[in-house]
Amino acid sequence: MHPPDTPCTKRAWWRGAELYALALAVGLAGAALVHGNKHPQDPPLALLYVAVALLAFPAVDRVLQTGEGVLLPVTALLVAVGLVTTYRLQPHLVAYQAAWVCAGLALSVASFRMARRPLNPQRLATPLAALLVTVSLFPWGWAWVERGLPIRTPAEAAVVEAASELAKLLALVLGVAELTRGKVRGSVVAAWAASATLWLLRGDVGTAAVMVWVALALAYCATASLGPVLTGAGGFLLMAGLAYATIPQLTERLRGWVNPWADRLGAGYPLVQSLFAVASGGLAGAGPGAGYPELVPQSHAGFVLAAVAEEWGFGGVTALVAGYAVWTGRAVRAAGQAGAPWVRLLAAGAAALVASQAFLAAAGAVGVVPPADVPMPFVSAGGVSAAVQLALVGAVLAAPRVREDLR
Amino acid sequence: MRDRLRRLAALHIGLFAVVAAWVGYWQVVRGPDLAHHSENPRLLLAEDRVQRGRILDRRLEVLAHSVRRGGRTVRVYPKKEVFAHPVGYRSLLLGKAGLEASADAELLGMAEADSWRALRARAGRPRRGLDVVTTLDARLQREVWLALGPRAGAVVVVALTGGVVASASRPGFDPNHLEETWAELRWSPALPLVDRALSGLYPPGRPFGIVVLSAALSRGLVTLHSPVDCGGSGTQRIHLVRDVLTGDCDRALIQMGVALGGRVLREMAEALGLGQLPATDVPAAAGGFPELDERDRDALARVASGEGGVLVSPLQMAAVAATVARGGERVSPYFVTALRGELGVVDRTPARPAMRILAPEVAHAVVEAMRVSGKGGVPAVSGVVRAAKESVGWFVGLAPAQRPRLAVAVLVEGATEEVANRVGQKVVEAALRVVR
Repeated sequence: MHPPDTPCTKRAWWRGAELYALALAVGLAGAALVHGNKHPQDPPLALLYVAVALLAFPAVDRVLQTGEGVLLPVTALLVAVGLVTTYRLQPHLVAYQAAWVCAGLALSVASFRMARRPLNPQRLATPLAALLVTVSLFPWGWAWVERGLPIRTPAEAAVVEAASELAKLLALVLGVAELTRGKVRGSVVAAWAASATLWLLRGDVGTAAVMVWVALALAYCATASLGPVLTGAGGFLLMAGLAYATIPQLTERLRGWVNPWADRLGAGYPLVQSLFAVASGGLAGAGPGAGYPELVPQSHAGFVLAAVAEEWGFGGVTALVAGYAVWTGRAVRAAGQAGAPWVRLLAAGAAALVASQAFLAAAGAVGVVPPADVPMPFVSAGGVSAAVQLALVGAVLAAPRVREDLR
Repeated sequence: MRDRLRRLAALHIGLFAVVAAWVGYWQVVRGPDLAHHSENPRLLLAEDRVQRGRILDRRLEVLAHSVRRGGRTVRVYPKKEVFAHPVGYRSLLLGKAGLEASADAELLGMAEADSWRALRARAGRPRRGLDVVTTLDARLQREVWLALGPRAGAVVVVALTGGVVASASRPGFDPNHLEETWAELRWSPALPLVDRALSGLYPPGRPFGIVVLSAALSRGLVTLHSPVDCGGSGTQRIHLVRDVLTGDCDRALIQMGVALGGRVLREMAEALGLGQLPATDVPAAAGGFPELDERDRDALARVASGEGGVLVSPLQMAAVAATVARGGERVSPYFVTALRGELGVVDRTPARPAMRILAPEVAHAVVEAMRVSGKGGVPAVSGVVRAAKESVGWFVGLAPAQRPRLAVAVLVEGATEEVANRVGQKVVEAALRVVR
């Protein structure tokens, strides 16, 4: 049984036009308010960047003729919030962010085309596993290289961020490649577990958690058995517990999460400031550019939810979280419409990758889970992250168009 | 596979719902507490973004305003030391005092409750706080300031409303140069930072007779025409009650006080607002009334003569006089009449619930007793008491002579009764000239 393919009618390209218009309106109005409130002396170039980045979405939709009227427009809406927040908190980054969004859209066209091509993913599993371990080792190697250099390079953070994004992406593709056959080789699992452990050892619980989350979601979808999933989750929690107990930086962070008010100027500082920002937003928010989200450490990255909550209020946060919920629902629905099992897994895994990061970032910012420095998909000011997430959107959009079982 | 996918989606959407609920808890349920938490840095930072409102006198003359100087906002006090105490100051280093402190929220415009305020009134210009219109009168304040000696305080209150038209204290300080002169002001023996009019506490001396006489008349202990023994000899010896406040007859006041007892005196004093925090919109001192043992006649006698632990501020004495002039209805002094914003004017005159302290006949009788019989002049009581190491002179009066509408209290440190009386008369003349 194949799902009915959406016919590629002439009208299809403007499906979702209302949502695109909404995204453009949110982006332009938000950027204009931030401009008026925060940077009235600068030329309002940000509006141009926002407009270009957001208008690229319907253009891509037209090129791909996806016929999916919600997923890409909702993505545009989330990106609009992200661009406004970036302009608010890191005004010098908004042009880069817009450029990365456009690059991500180009990647999404590429991944859309690639996912529809008959591929044999099984052959890829071994090289992918090797690549994953290499990428996970990269930050360690970079640090080693840097120690030998006479100067500190400012690139380390960017290198680590790119490696982290790539590792999460590779974990997804590796999982898809390996699980499509229905059975899993021990060597691949070992490589995957080793790279997750490498990230955990760096103190980057977020990357490791997302890798594990995606792998478990894939395993559940592919095998339908809960046993390995629960074992994997338990194993990860054990490892994470060990990491929190032994790595001083993580112990400190855990202490700040368990009771942030006890040490509100030390370990609890980020969470307390984040909660102050959230609370100061109230129902309606202070208005874009009219709050003080810059008081929250990392508010442009991991704690971006606090910035949105302060300036857009509870209404804005609810809309943002609802946007992720709709995005996830539509992505999983698209996965269900895929004909080929590996594309189905890819789309479901991509949905889990985006949703898990959205959850970990949002929950970390308000203390539901320990803050894990995970970028908020499409919203956080992180160029590579935005590009990778948008590439995944392309793969998800391709899913309903892959009709034949390629096996 | 469809079922599994559906469960996967449901799990994630459920997690998002948890986050939304959690955010809602912190933002909506706990939001108000945390938003105004003393450690939330937003409150302090908000000030830099707001153009602080002005403080105006009752004719809208500027007493304090903010100007941009060299890229930062400076608070300017055009009346300098004359209004230093009631208007107060605002300094990032030293904090706030006076109206700058008590009307802070209004001056910052925090009283307005709209969160998307950014949308409105926004074209690159900063948000403005509200202008605070006070009851003070710049012209009268200046004249009172000039009339006072080197160390003195004075308050002029409109008897009908309780509006404070002048509240001066000397020595003063220049709030425009507070940070530079702070160390000197802080350690100066003349205590220029103390507001003698509102926070200076002194034994009231003979003007406390207004309280004693009010109680005695209310209780029916005496009438204005009862004879009293003033001591001395011959024809000097016997007077009428109506002369005890103006003549040299403290002995009769003491006798009345002892006859009334400590409880009655305390009740009357408290009803007139002594020994209690004045319900004003600027911080003022409460003063004190001692605990009295009814059998301790000496202590009672000291209290009845306005000493022995009774402590009042000029503001409180002016309120007592105003209550008498208003026919026995309690007067609560206040400073802020209105708030002026971009959207209009909000009346802030406090509601004045009629609270009768004295019967109208009693109040009129007390006013009569404050007049010097057979002479013109305004109803007034003056006196001198020992406070700490020196004498302080008091003048508590009403103006004009017929149908008084202003209440005046003047206190001069290190002065005789005559000096206090002279200063008081000057203040009364100035008040009658300026406040019509």
